[in-house]
Amino acid sequence: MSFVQSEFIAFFAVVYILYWAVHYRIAQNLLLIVASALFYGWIHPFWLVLLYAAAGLDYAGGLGMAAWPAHKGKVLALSLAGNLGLLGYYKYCDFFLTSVGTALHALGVASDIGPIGVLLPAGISFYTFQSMAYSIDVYRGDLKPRKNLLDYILAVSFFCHLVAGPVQRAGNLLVQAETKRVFRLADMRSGFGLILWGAFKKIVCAGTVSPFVDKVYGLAHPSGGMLWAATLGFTVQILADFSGYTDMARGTARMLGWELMENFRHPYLAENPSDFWQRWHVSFSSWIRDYLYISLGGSRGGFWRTTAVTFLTMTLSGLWHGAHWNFVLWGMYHATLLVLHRLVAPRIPTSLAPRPLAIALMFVCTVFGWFLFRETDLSRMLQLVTLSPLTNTRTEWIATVTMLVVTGISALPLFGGLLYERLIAPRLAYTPWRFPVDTVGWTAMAICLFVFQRMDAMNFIYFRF
Amino acid sequence: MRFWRPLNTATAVLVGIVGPIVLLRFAAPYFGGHPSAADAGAASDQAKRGADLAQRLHDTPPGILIIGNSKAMTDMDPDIYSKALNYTKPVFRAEVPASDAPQWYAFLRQRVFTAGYVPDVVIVYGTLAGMLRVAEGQWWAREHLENEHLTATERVQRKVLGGQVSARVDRARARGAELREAAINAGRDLVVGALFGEAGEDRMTAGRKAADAALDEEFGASATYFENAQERVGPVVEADPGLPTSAGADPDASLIPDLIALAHTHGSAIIFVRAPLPEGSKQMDAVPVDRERAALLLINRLGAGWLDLHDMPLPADAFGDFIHLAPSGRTAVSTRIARALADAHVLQGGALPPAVARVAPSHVERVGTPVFSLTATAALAPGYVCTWLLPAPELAMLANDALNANGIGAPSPLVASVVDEVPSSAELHPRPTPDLSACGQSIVHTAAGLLLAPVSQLPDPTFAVTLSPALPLVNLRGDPVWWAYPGTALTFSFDAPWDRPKLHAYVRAQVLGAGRATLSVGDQTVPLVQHGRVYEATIDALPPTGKWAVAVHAAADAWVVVDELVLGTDERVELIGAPMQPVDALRSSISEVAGEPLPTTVPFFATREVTLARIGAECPPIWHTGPASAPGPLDRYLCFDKGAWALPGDHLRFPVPDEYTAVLGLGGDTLSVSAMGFGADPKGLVHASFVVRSAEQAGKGAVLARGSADFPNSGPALAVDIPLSTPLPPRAPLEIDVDVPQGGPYLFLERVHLVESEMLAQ
Repeated sequence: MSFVQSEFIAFFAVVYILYWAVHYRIAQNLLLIVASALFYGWIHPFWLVLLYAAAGLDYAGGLGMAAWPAHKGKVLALSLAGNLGLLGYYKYCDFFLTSVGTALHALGVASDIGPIGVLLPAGISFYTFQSMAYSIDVYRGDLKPRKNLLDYILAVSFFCHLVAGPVQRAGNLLVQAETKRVFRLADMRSGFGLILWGAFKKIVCAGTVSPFVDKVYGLAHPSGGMLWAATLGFTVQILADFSGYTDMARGTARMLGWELMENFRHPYLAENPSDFWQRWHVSFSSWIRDYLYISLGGSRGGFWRTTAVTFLTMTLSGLWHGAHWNFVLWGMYHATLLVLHRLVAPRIPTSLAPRPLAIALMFVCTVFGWFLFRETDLSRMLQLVTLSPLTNTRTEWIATVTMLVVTGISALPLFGGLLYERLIAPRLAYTPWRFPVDTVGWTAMAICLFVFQRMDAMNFIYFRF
Repeated sequence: MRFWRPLNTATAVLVGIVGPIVLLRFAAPYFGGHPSAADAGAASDQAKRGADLAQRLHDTPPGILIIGNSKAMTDMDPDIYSKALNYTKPVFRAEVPASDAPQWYAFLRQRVFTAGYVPDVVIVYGTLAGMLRVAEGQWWAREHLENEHLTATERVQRKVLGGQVSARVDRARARGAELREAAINAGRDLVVGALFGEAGEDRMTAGRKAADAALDEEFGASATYFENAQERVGPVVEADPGLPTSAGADPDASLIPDLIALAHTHGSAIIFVRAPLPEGSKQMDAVPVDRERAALLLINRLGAGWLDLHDMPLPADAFGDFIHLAPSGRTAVSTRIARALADAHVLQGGALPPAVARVAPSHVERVGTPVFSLTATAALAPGYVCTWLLPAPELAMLANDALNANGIGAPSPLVASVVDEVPSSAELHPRPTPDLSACGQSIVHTAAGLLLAPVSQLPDPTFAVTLSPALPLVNLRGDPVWWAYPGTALTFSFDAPWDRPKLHAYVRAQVLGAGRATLSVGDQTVPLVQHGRVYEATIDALPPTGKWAVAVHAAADAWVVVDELVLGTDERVELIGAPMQPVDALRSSISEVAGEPLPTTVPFFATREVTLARIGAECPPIWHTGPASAPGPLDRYLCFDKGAWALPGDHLRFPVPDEYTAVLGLGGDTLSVSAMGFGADPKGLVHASFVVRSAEQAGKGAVLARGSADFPNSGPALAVDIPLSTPLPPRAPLEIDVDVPQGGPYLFLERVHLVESEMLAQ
């Protein structure tokens, strides 16, 4: 099930009413566990087996580490092996088999190795990471192992964040699962507004630009201008799509009295690569930083070691996004940006890099990165990356301008949202104006959602991960 | 900011409640209205037509009721029914334009039977695809159905409207799609017009023209932003992803049983008549044979009548356009139906003979071992980095260029693999041209031989060359090619009997090589005989008993491509291909006109009265006259469905794209022209010359063929077949130029068809 399906509206309405109708935390938790099972198992009930297996493994691992502290390293290794094994098999099995087969063939070794067609369960990249985070936190002593299985299961399987994040920290969700939730009108109001805004970004913004992006990327020989205009469109699309989903996730959770991590902090206003990763998919990048980068030594080992760790971390980050070599390339590209920034930034006076220029430069670098992200065919990528907009014919320029207009129109609401957040919302916060602005805004967004919905564009980009 | 003043809380709450209501109040009628004039026309037209039909029913209660789409009006002549059946009650044509079975059911149920009318016979006239169709894709059609109280029958409601979004929701979404499209287009037109418009031009108009042209060029057929954005219906297709294909629902799930039950319950006989369509439109009624068979068996079982006129032999001029019949066709079809009713005494309670289902082959295979060997050694091809050349002079007629030239289409049926490669990389893929600088994993059959490129550099690869087992082999254009290799027989086996008293089989093929081919039906065999560029054969046989087969055999030194294999005459079973169709040049937009300045007055021989008498429709040449306006361009499209005018000194150019010429498998070698002259001398003639040139370079393409003819100034149109000086290449974009000399009479072109000479004999 997805947040933008009509079935979800009915589903959430029933869950919401029942949830606040029962006052007891345990009953609420049970209800959420059942609802989450229904939500996740809607298409493939078998996926629930994998989810509960991963959750069960780490739950048992936490208890094991508490019972046998001398062997907690081995327990942790078992947990990581289990989770990574699950992820590795379902997500990367075919990728590696195909790559091995190709490599053997390139070496002149005859082999029948090839993909075996494993179906990727939705959200496996997210809940395995969340589960591993619990085990690692328990190992480090940052978190006490939980004995209450139901609370733990709920923290892992909570439907609001299950399928496409944000990647929650166990500590954050467990505490909320173990705490009584209180109904607050403010939570209901802000959660509802977040849901509408997220859906608006997805359906209206991303939905407007995505068909044109697909058309341009589907051309056998796009011109340079059209390609880069489409990449700019994809830049808008992926932000609107992913942040839209996150907002819907956070909004539904907030309406149920839960608070999920903020995932996007205006990433295209980043001034440098490091800043970008503190603004884009914050939950994932902070997970990578805390559990991988720092564990491998972080920036403590000198320039070369730090560079190596950066490359390894970002390459794995890229691979996490998808079982294709272009995602690896994308990760390595961002690693290169981070390393270059580390090298160059201290040597450039601030006066030479005013904020707007820095933002513009980082934005251009980000757009190029999205090109690597979007084009999964490496040979085609090599062919397209050399295309220059300067060689456009008049017709191609007109088509390029058209693409840019579509992108601009799609991005307008995002700018509007930014302006509202920075300029208007703070002034409205404690005034009576808040109520009419909310209700009129919600009504306008709801009307837009109703009339602009396109059923063929309902899949979220990050569902693929 | 000064206007952020403290506001009374109650006022804020009031605004917060009233604001959304006001917004909804304005949004509801906007999005609830009809998206565009065209849709508004269609929607309100449906409702109006329903009311009109109801009034007509009231005025002339039907004895025989013919229901269908617009063809029910244009194709049926009530007088013929009355006379043939000696019938005094009204024969009522219930036309619901652009409709299918759901509309017909709704109309019959609500407007006819529930209103108390009980016809003696209900004739459902339309395509079989329309009879089988259940879901209505157009929101305005579904809205009409809802208004026609289709929901009164739960079973039909579930079939037609079940699982679909409400028509009102779809209508609102169509409006939303229009709004989004308008916003994008406005922004686009403004910016493109500002950047690329000429000085003095209206920016929006200039921007729109430039942007539309650019998008068409870059994206071709998919130039719209959204799949349906530029069509009349909104995102209905997106809202109904489960819409059935043109083949319609399974017969049992269709509305055929409901229509039959409705009629029989009220005591009316019901007959389904599958309407004829012109050759170029037959794909509109493409129903799989097995589904057609199921529909006929269902109709037989439920006791309804069936008459199949889908392949009724009708000349091209029996059709007035690409769907509807002309008066001559109407007479022929009405007579045929009326006679069938009369012969079966339907009005006296009799029944039509049971429907005879077509047969589909149970099995299609290439029987026999191909006589094929290639004993040559491959060597690295000169100039290539990773490509080997395998000479095959004896197979030059299978080279890509040769197959393209004769219309079969590359690639060659020869396939190859590299013995030294892993299985996933061994197979070489056919390409149009080889890659000079890389290992392309390709096979390209050229006149010099087979160019074979493995996937990676190998020092001395070993290639295995065989014949493609694909049946049919799909060429690089995406068309199926039915090969009978030397020494094999392309065989269609049937387990079901042929239900008709006689079995007629016809084959048309191309034969490459020195050998010949034969056609066999059961035990009877005849050789294929050459006619021009093709080989043909027919067999008339008694229906075989038991299992039987039709086969085309290729001799040991013959490579046979079957273009057409048909069983039956009136009820044709096309096993392979569709017959070639004429290319109608007059369906193109004239791209160029050049001629003398127009006269300021209409000459007597081109007045309305004269042209009406000869052309049969109001088609005089029209131009502006009088002091208020200077003589303007001749509206040459005034009679687009009837023909086009060429004035003295005119040079008309008809561009014919390759999609049009694709219907001619071999390219065309004759211009079939029907025209009449209009001049002062009733015995005079108009000389017209025709030049066919390649459209590769607009207006400057190579001249491919020429022809000319003289057309009289009086009498009906003269039809002439002008052989072109050279046969044309298949599937090539062309330009057909028509020149009329200066100072002479006018010419009215009724028909300019590009055809294969073989078609003229059929």
